[in-house]
Amino acid sequence: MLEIMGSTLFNLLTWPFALWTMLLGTLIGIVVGILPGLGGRLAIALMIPFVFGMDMIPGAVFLLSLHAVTGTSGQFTSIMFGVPGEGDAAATIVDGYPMAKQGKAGLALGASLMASGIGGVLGALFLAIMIPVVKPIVLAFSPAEFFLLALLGITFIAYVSGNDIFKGIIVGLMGLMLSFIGMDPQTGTARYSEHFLFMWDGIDLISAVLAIFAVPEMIALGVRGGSISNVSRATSGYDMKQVFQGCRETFNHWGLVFRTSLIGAVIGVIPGLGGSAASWFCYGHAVQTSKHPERFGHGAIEGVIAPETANNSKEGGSLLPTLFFGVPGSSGMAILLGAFLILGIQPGADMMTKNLDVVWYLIWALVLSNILAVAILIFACRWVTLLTFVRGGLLIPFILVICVMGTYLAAGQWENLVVLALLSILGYGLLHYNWPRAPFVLGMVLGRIAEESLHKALNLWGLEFFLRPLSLVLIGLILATIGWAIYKGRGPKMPDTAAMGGG
Amino acid sequence: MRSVLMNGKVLFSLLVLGFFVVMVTVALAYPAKARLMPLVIGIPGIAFSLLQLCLEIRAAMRVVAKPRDARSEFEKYQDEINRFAGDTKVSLDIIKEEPTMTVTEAPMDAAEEARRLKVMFSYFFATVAGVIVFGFWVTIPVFLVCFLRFVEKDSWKFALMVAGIATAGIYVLFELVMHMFLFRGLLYEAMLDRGWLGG
Repeated sequence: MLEIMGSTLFNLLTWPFALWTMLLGTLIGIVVGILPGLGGRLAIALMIPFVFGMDMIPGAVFLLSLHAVTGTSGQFTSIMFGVPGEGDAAATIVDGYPMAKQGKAGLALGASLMASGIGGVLGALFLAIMIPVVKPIVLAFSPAEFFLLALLGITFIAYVSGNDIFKGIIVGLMGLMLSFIGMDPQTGTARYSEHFLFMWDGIDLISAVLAIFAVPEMIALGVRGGSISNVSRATSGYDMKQVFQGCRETFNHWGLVFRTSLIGAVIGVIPGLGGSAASWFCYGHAVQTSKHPERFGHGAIEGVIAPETANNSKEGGSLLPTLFFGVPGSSGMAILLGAFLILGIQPGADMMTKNLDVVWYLIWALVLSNILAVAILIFACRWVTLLTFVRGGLLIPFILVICVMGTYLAAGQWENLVVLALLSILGYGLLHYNWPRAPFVLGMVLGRIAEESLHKALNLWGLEFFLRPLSLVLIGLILATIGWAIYKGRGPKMPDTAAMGGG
Repeated sequence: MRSVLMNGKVLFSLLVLGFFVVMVTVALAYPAKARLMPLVIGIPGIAFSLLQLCLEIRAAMRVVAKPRDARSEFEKYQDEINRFAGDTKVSLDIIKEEPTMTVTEAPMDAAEEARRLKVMFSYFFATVAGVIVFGFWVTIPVFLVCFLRFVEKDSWKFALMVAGIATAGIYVLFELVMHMFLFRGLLYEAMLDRGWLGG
């Protein structure tokens, strides 16, 4: 294990292309985290076509670096303006914004940046430490269990992605159905594509991801026509001395940083808890463990440090179920999983045995990209803040052009543009009527693997496969998740809670 | 009843149900192994989406206004903190404040929203069609100019400048640096096949 740790770090540091992709991914992640109207998931979806054809490691490093740092820059608008850049940055507003109004914006920014960086690094180390712990569990799963794991993954993502788990499950099943389009590997039958040769390899995943995520977001942004109004008072401004002081202040709260990093990573491991749960939970923990809890809500620096460490450390935790079980820890991880599969990174037992070096490359990428993001933001924060004033409407045509280009470049087939156009109607419908979209992507991504697993399972054990202990556990988890969702009010909505109208 | 059937949510649920029904029906014609997974997934899909459709129809028939959540964003944060902070009560300065930066949206009725939706989709579909017929190098600059000028209401000068810079940038990055060649369109390929371009 130590040998792999050392060799992968050395290889990464001496691989110019991989370092370049890490830097590029980090920069794009920083920009995306702060730009209004964009988000981490959209950015990953947009970038997938351009890593298609890349070597596995640089491509994965690029996307993971991008994903890992979007939360780091999102705190700028939380602290400076009281508006969360990314949804998970909301908890930072509670004490960060009052600090800015007290003239301590630099202090808050410095502390949050350093906390983010340390949290990200500790989250990656948590993942590394957990590898030998989960190894026996991962190896106990046979490839046949992947069918039930796919259904479990869809159920979890359906739970975390929206307010109605049944809608999420339906959408996941739709994604699975679309993944069956194309040549069936078992029988050679051209399913749903007899007259369309370009679909014999299936619906292009990149076209589907862009159509379901990116295009509808831009259409909706164009329909809303939102714009950022003038800032109602002069921003307090900050000086670099305060920023550095804030960075040092983080180290004065080492115990809190360590505890909240650990809590965030553990929450990240558990699919279905949701991204913001880590931040709020750790904020609550900071309040409960403070000797002076009355300071919270009025500009306590611990109220900035705690949620930010958790926000970044959870990414390391959420990679664990994603890489080893194929169950994404969040909706962002669902899209990342799709990208990993395109690059040839197959989740499961092989990641523990044959491809452990890939896991370590990703761990080091998490560590280095977090350090890089902090370093860049500390020195470039003034200029980065200007990005918040970019007009949302200006982004729309460029994002749409990137979508169309990406769809074509992925497979070099213009027919995929037709698929993009048609699926974007479905994607907009899902967005407009509040159906979650992440399960769709997961269904498309895992469909073929799930089918292959089911056939293997039936060949080996017949229908008794469903009575195996692990299968029963997985079925129990699926039912428990659905039951819990209904109990917590995330089940199908009954008439007396329906909203008026309906679009 | 007509208003129920014209309800957008009901129609969308019906569309989803229709999707599963069609997929399962077509799958029945395939050999046993080929139709296994479509049926394993499609039949529960029909069941779930039928349930969802029934719920949407019931909701549309008994339209009840959902009590508007009058809490501000910051007051919602207070609730999140109270969930996790246990017995410790935290009072927030920000509850009495407004965010420094506000996102304003132009007031819009349903007709205006529908118009904008048609405009956005028209631009998008026209772009896709344009790329297929005329290729990227004609469609990208035309789309950018038209969108910036007629939708974003920027000046001709700004629109042309931005479109020019963007198109040039894409050409340099993709064709010259990365050697990723963008589609030139079916029209170009047809002209090439007929020898009209001397290729």
